Amino acid sequence: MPASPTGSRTSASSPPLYRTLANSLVASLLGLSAAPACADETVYLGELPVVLSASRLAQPLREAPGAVTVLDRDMIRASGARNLPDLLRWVPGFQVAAKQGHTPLTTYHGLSDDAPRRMLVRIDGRSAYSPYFVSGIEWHKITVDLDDIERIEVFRGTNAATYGSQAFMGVVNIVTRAAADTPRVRARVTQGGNGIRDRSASIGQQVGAAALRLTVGSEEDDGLANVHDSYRRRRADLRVDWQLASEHRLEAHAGAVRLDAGTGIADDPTNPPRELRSDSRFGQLRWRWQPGPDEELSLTYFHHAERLSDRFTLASVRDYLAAGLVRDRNLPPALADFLAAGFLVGIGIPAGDGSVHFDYANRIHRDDIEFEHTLAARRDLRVVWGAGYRQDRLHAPQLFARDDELYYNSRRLFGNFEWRATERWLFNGGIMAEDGNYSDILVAPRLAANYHLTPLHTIRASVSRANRRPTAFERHSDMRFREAVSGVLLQQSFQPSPAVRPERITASELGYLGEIAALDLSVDLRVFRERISRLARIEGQPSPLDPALDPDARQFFSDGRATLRGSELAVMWRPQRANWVGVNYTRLAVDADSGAPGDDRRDVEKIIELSVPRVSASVFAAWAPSRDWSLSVTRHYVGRTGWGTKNEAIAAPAYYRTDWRVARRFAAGPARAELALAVANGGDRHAEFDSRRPTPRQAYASLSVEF
Amino acid sequence: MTLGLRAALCLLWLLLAPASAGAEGVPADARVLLVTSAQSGAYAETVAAIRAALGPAVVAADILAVDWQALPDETLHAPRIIVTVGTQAAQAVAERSPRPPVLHTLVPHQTWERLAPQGANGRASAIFLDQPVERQLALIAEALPEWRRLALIASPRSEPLAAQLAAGAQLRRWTVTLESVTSDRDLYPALQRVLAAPAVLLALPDSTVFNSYTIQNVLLTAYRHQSPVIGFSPAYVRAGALLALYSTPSQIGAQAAAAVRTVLEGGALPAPAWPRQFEIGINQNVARSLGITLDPAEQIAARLARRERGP
Repeated sequence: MPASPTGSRTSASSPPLYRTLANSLVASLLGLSAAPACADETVYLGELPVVLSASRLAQPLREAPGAVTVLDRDMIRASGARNLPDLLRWVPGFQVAAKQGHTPLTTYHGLSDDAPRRMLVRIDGRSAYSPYFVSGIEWHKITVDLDDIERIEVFRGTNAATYGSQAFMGVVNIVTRAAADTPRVRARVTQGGNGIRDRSASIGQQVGAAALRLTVGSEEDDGLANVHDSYRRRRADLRVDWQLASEHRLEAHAGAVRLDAGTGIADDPTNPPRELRSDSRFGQLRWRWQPGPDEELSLTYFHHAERLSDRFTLASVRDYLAAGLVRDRNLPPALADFLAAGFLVGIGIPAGDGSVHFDYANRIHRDDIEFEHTLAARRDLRVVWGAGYRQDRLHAPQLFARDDELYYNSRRLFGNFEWRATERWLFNGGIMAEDGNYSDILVAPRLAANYHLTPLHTIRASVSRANRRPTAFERHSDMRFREAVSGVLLQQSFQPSPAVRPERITASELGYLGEIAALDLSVDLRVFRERISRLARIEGQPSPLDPALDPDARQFFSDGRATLRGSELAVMWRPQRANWVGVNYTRLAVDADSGAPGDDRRDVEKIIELSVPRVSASVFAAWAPSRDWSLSVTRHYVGRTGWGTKNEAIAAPAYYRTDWRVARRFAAGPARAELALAVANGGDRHAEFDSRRPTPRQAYASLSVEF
Repeated sequence: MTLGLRAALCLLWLLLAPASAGAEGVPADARVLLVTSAQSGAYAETVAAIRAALGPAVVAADILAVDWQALPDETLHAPRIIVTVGTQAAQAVAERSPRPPVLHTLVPHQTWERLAPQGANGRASAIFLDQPVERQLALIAEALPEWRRLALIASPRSEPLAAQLAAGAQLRRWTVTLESVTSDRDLYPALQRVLAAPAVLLALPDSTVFNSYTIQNVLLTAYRHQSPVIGFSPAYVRAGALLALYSTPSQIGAQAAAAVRTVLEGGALPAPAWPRQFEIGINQNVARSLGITLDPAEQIAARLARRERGP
């Protein structure tokens, strides 16, 4: 072929050998046009990979079957947040708190104890819900870096019809940037008060038809005041996008995270201050095939593995019992000690004292495979259907009183359609059917109608029903504590709950979404009713094992009911990408009926009522006075919120919180740099989880560089 | 068929192939010689379009299509007109300086300038594959009337084109951001700069910047910046560009046939020209996701054609 002068630039600049090889190999094997070598008409006639496939495109909010809040990159950056959960403060109806510095809690419309489990988080389609033990979302196990996030789409309201039973009250979809859309090198250093020391580094590289991004990072701080919860988290996250051919793409994700953290409470020998270590890692492969512009098939497999080590010993049961007698019964120490020793001899511990080993270690494996088919069957009809299978293997002897693995399997089959009946009417319907080895078939249907008053003003109505599968802990928890030498059972803190049933939600909503383009204004109003039945509660019941110290063992019951009514308003004025003022306002009312017998009834209802903040509101604004400067400030108000407590004095009182950030961008040689100062929680001192655990004020500076 | 038999047949074919090509070969009296860069895809489509548009006035026997690699010198001097399809064919024919007039098709404007540095001399002409600058700008004005920002990224090779586009855009009082890159490694920061505010990113037919490896980066970054991309081939629309403006091989073939007819009827070879007919491709999914409402492609194309015909 004659040398083409127009194509000479790239080939003359001698790319590295591996690159040339990879380019030519891929191009020749897979028939992609090897454009750099020959220009002329091939650039007009050659094929290109499908980049913005249906799955990559965000659904326009006005066509969504529910209320969706989108947090884009500018907003994520302006928030100054150091972690993902803090971003949800900008979403109407969400509550964010931290039980410990490394244990953030997030819930939608309250109803949560200190282990929220009624919402789902997905990262690039991978469920981050941990149905193993107590909590649903363990945020610290997520490996993604905030700078690698493309956008976060938060679906407010149940979305089990699309994502399964774990999306019981809401879904947070985190979409990371494609590997190709990554700077070659990026580094960030954050340093601040309260022991803040965060580091992050990332590289992006194109190797032939494959784009790769690797991000490593670490975060550490001293957590909350008055709690032993300093932590250090180290993580790595890899994404590879490989365009196999113009219609075939392979996406690989892998990640690992290690948490070394303090936990425990100073004056509780059964939960003493100590260090724990949690390791978590995953690998995911997704193959996408786009046979035509209106059709896409994908097959996704991921494996996730976790390991926790957390052990300690109660050295003297006698001292523990004696201290309790002194505290609760005001006995003289010597008498208390005598009684404790006597009691222990009486229950079969001859030495009159003994120890208890606590070992909360666990190992978890999850395998998940899913097939999905998106098809524009007609111009006015789009269908997504698919099926999946998941297996969780849990090994946690202390939690389940068994040495073998507990298998938790589930299968799912789902279908959703989007029908543009006319220019104005759009109907969304969907259904998800799930079953598993511990539950019957659960069916979650939804129907939504969107009516476009004009292209920019939409009214929406939707009804849906969903069921939340109990977690392994809710069903199988069996925690027994024995004296180490004699084996005498001292306490069973949880006993299995074979009768626990899936919680059920029936939700209906009316929504309005308007964009007043002339004023750069958007308005999102949602009015809803969410009726939840079979709401789980915990109650002590006589233990069949007759433990020596406490005859009762806690059990889960599915007899509560709660009805939430309320409205959410989000108004955003955004004349430019980097300049905006947003206002969120949420009102919630709850009507609780616990189903518990006797005096407990009112207590459980109180827990439910306290868990729902009546009013919350946010104002957030960002302003870029020039290309180089940006300022942002957020002011939140959150009504009183309890996280699983019936005690008004312990619930976090209503609070105001102010976060702000100032950043300046500048060029440093070939690199672009940004220096930012941020203050999280700059307002009054307050608590967000428990009135005894104030949220610290944190000021930090961060420098990021990319080129 | 056994492997051995197949191998033997292949061998036989190889031995006989040149002879049989010569035998059925070049009738000395073929009036139209089509020389193609390849025998498939767009090249075959162009050839088919030329044949279809010439017939039945010009009988099939009068039209001969050959691959540029099987081009004996003597065949070049007999026909009334030679039409090349593609750059390789154009180059091969131009190097032999044939006596008959030559019309190059399926070649970009830049290729033509290289082949005929002195311009048209009456013996050679071309129908370009690319679209005139004015038409590209008119597309933006017609399809996206509310957009007033144009983003361009060029390598040194495409800078002249980018400069023409920028000048035309400035005449329309649009804001133009133009970034120069020397390799695809500079692309990411360049994209960030030109799309700092949402803009229409016009892809240039420059494989240093826009190729099948960089297209991911380009389309994803533009999408994230809520900026529509305009491409220059149907593949762009499929890949995720909002719009593309292009002429199909059939349209170019039809235009070439008209020129051939003129020559066969004794007329002169028309001057080098941009493609008269064109198409506009729209990716409706991308439009919907970006919240952009577009008129149907045919309507936009009709308005462009009206503009070009003048008042």
